[in-house]
Amino acid sequence: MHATTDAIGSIGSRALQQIGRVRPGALHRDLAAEIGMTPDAFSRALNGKRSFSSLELASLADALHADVHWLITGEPDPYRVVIAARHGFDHATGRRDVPGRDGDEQALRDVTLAYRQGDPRPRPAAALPDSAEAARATLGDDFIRPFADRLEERLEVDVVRIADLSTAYSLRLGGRRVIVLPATGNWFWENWSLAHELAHLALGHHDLGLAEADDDPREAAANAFAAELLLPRDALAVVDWDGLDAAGLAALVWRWGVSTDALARRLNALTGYLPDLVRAWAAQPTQRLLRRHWAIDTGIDEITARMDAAAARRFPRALQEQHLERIALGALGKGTLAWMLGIHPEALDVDVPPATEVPTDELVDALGL
Amino acid sequence: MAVLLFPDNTVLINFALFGQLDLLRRLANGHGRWCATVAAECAASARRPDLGTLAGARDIFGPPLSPTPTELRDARFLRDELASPGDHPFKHLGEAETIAVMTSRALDGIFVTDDNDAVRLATRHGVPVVRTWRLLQLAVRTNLADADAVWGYVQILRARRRGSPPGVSDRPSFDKWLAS
Repeated sequence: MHATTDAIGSIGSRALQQIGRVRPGALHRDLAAEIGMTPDAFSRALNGKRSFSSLELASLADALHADVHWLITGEPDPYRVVIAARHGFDHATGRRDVPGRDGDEQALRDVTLAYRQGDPRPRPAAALPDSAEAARATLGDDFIRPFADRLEERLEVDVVRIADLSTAYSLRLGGRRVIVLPATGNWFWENWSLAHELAHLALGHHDLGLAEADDDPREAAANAFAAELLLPRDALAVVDWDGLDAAGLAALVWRWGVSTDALARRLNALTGYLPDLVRAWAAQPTQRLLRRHWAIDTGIDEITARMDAAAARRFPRALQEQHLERIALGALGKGTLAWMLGIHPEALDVDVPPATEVPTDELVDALGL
Repeated sequence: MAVLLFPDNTVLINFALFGQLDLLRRLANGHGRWCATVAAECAASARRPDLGTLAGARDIFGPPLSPTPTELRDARFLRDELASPGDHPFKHLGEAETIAVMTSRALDGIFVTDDNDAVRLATRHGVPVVRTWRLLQLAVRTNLADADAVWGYVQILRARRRGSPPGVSDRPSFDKWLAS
């Protein structure tokens, strides 16, 4: 009993500590009103003379931008989420921003929930290669077409693709690493996003506590990593750019999985020189170059197939399997797995344990009726 | 010794919608208890014009049980196991806290909830569960209400899109369910 009272007091002390940190000078009665408590109840809870309820504590954590797990235990949440976003970059003004961040909040919260549910006790993943060259070596030859699969298999970086996002994000969820992509069908944008977010993870930007800030050096470092991963200096150096025709350029863009614009910027950054052909195509949609000049005889429309693949909803199979196992145990409902699959929960025919109610006759006795 | 009856807010709202909080009081028979978050959710619901009678729920369930820090932590894990994408972060906290308190204190109690996920999770943790419909069946069985009155309650809840007893679509199927 004494230990419990002591622990309740600790929640109050941590709440006071957080109030001093983020709302110094705030009147406790105003905070109490904000979270739906009476001033007296709030005061007693802060002083350890009364417990917070789950709802009060969640409201307080919201108001104080605090981690509920830390308020309760004094320890950081083992499933703490750290997010970095792929910033939009206006080449004309040099400004970076993430205009859709607020709108993406729910989708990111849902992805996080799927991981918390699938694996409540995450273990730390192995370290990532800290350079583009090392990452490329680990990902292996011709990694670009199965980029997401290789990230999962060889680097323990999960890749999720959903429709309701404005940009790409990388998350650290406890020990796990996840890249979350918007489903666009635009594989060259997606490849760059994967490389860019891999860079944030590999370079430890999530550990530095300012991952979401409009932070140019980190964004620049992530872009440099991505450029060297997708368009290695050595690979560009051996191309006879002036002798290249449109078909040759299309073949390179297809193989490297980048846009004509990205290729032009990389060439210009490395050499300060932009061949006329590359300059001309950089101003046009990449798919136009491919549709007009890239020729391969596989019997199927490879461009559409690649576009389809970059538009498909995607969650790692291991995560889905974790959900299936926990649904069968009754630990989880079907809602999140159905959401991952993009179907209605009622349509998901999986094994669930029966839920039984107390029979009426037993209730009569149990309630003394 | 009678067991305790713990409601979640969905059940309290149902009884308030058909204006029979007093029936719930008689069914609880002095053994009603509730957790602090459910009490707070109920107080918030009582501010809705059609649910004002919920203010009387405290007389049925008494002073709310407050969770210990360990129960607060457990409730957070349980809430994760109840949630689905799109849920507000505060949704399911009442059910989670109730299961956490009932299990950690090994209370001899029954949890009344109409949330399918709460039924599932309570069952997994060995907490006996009933839904609103079973309480209405009990009311008829113990002569606390007659079948016509309960049929009226069911129709009110159906009109408010709060479901139906299993297999009930009309009066004959209702009578059959009642006798089951």
